[in-house]
Amino acid sequence: MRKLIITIGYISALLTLILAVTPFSNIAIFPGVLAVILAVLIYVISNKQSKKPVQYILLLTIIAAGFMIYNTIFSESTVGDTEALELREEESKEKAIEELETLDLDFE
Amino acid sequence: MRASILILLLFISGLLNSQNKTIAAGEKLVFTASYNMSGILTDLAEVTMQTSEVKTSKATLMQLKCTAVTYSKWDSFFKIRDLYESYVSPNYLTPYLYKRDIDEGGYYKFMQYNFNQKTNTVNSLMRKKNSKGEFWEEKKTLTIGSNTRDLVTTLYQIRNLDIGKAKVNDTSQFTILFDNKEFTINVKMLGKETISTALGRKECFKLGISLPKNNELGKNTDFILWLTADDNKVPVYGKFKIPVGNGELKIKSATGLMH
Repeated sequence: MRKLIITIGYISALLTLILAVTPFSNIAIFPGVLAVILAVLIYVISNKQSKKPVQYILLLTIIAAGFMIYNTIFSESTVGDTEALELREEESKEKAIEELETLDLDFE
Repeated sequence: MRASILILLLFISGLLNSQNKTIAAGEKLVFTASYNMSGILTDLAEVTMQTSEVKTSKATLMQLKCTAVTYSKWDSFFKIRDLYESYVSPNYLTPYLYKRDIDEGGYYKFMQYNFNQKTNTVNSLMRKKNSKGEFWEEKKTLTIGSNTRDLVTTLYQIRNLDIGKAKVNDTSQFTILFDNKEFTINVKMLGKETISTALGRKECFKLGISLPKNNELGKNTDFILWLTADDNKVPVYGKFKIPVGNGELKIKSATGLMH
């Protein structure tokens, strides 16, 4: 049982770290919270057994939290490369004018 | 009963053909589109709605342009570069040409409608990419209702409604041509609300937009739109519910407004 909880704890902590460094950092909070809960649980049920897993899980989660906080505070949402789109817009407008020239526009 | 239906139809037709007193050429609205990921809203894309004047040798039209561009952090996961355009008469926002050129994570689709307002027909052109990366086209001539508009024009026509006179629960209907199919949406006045936006605290008209259950966007699709309760009726906030989740649209900036 303890081994299973430790395994899930490690998986949660790693998942938190992986998500924290991707644009999905917002949702890294969920495995992060699970990892902390499992770390506390492992500490409680460990008695005289090694408590190293607790330290590793918490360390991974703290590093992930650092990335999450950094992303939240410093990363700005900026649009990517729009050159191709701007070119498409210009071409589309030119073609549209050609099309409109052929239509019988009688609204004026 | 017949008389009330006739009055209702005249009212709706009057709304659809009402003169443009809201949209000016040179207007630019920028929004942030967010998606709800497990209860946390995440900024996904920037949506821009822009108008400009387009001159041909015979007439001056207004170009209504909407673009959607994903933020750079999402480009390596799901890159969106969408372009929607409509060329309309500046006075009544009657569409003559509509184009939809979408590129969403490698999925490409182009739709073009040439509206003939005299015969109520549309020459439709659809261009898609097959699995080998080759383009194929499909041309069709469609007969549409006299009040059928494209998606972009409808978005602007909603702003052109005389909402100030509407009472709570008043409803207007719009027929939209999308993917060569016509469907009707209901725009319902839900009331007035004052909300905080990037443009400051604004008193807004709250409108509920409901789509038919078998629409192209899927079942359970609903939108709530907040338009400023002034002459510009700027869409400052929107909430949407689609089959794969929900999200919101928040205004970032508004320039070139008519009033």
